[in-house]
Amino acid sequence: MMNLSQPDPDQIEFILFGPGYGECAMIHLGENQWIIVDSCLNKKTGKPAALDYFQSIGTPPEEAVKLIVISHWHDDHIRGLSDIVLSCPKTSICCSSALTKEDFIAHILHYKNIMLKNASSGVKEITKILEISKDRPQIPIKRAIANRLVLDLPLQGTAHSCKVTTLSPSDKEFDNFLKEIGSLVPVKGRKKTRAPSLEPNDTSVAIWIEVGDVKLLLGSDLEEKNSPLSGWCAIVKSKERPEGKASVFKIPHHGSLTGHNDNVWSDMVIQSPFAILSPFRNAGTILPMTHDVSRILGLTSNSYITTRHPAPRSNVHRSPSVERSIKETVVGKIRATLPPMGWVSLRNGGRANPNSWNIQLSDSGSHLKNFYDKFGGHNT
Amino acid sequence: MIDGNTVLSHSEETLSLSWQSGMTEKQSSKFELYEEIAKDFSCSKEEEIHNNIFHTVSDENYDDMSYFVPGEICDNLAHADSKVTDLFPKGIRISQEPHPSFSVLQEWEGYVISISDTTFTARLTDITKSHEIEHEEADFLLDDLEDSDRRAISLGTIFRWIIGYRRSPGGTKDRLSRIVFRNVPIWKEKELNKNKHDAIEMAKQLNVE
Repeated sequence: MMNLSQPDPDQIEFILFGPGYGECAMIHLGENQWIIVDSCLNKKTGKPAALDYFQSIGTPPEEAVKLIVISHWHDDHIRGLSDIVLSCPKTSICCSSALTKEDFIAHILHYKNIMLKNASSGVKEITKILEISKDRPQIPIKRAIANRLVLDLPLQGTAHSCKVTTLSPSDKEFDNFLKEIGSLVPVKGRKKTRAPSLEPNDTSVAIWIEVGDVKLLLGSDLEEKNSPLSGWCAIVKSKERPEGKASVFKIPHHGSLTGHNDNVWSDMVIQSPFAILSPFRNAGTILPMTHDVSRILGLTSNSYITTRHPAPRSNVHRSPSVERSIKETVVGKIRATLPPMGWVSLRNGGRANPNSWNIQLSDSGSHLKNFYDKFGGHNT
Repeated sequence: MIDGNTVLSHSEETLSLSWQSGMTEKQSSKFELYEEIAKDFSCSKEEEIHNNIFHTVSDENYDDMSYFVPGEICDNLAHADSKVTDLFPKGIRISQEPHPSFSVLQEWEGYVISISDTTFTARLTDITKSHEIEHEEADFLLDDLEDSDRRAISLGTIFRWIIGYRRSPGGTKDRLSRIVFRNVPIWKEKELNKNKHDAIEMAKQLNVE
């Protein structure tokens, strides 16, 4: 699946996996030291993509991972993350502190067991992660708030120095999130349902990473709120955020317009950065839309997406009797919820050529301009 | 008098039949279920039957399940060899009248992710293949739902989609495809309070810096 070798000790790598009921970003800091942001499941193996990748490059995760960031707690960002946390018993977790508050914990406990016991969900993942953390009090959870340095590794051997700064959530977003959770408290006497989605995502953690002289901006699912106190406006205007411009940009919110802010492109990233994203699909909505693709390509031609395939028709084989009944019951056809998981990898030229990048794509990954080749203009 | 083997050979089939025969998809609460079974067994000792049948289903699973899938009950009974003689008190006469049967070919658990004027979209986990993630998604007609389900449907509503063959006592066979909205439990004050209490305790125990 992943025909990549281990990066060189002085090479910086950024690799994005998705979709897989989530996306997962991994950053190699040098000397086999890694940061993991979020998680997704590899549909083929059923395992977290990050653990599959570590296995393919022969890296045991328990010593290699220096920080695990939960940028977003809901279904499309953290499936399988609890397995990663379990595999890295000495690694700190960083997330919005809203996720450690009793209101939020009560919320996930309410919705934990609604579905089948053996089915994964964002709620179950975060519950497991908090339970694991509770049993590891010696490894504190690091609160992600605006402009907080959560990891500071010195230069060591061929490993680069590394600083990880969380850029969000702001105080306002923190308050909004807890208010919204408060409004979702189940009502006695009402029927149970699956955990409701929370929109917009007020616990999104945008991250600024400096590895040596290379800067990366990971946009998570942070959306623009047109408010000076939240969203990208608040980040761009902040006088306390780290200086400099990123050469690698993980596009927020799957390239949607709601995650876009012109000033991020002018003030926080270099001209024509490497822009990486994974698609999103829910019912009839596909992100990025065609106008999103046009917008991003207008800002940088170095744009790549982890998979270009639409969700295909389900290829699960069933008996003719069952197939007949499906045809009679379903409008159209049963679809696969997820296209094959893909990845985009960027590796630089190490200390000798830190700004020279080599891109590798999975079979389904592609340049962003090819994303809608199979759609033919779908979802304009 | 019924010996254990006789009970076992009847109990799997009868429970399976009883769940489906004469029961609407709504009759899925445990008390309605055992009432139906008691009728089939021509026994008025409902409490005895309840205590004996359901002791093979662990309390932990039981409280979370708002209804029973026939296979799960049959599996429990099929594997509870040592408890066969305990399953039913002696002296219960089991009805020998033929019953319709239903054999499940395919089953999914689904949850609703969007609703339009005429259709709803759901993500599906294949129970038959023991999948753990929702690999599939489909659109269904709202008109195909029972009126009460159509009124009750909302985002996040959970259901089972079951395909199988129904055989009547007369021998006719129909292929059925049914969407069964789970008769999910309601939120209870005790449960909500317990979760709040557990949340307070967990928050205290987390080391956050």
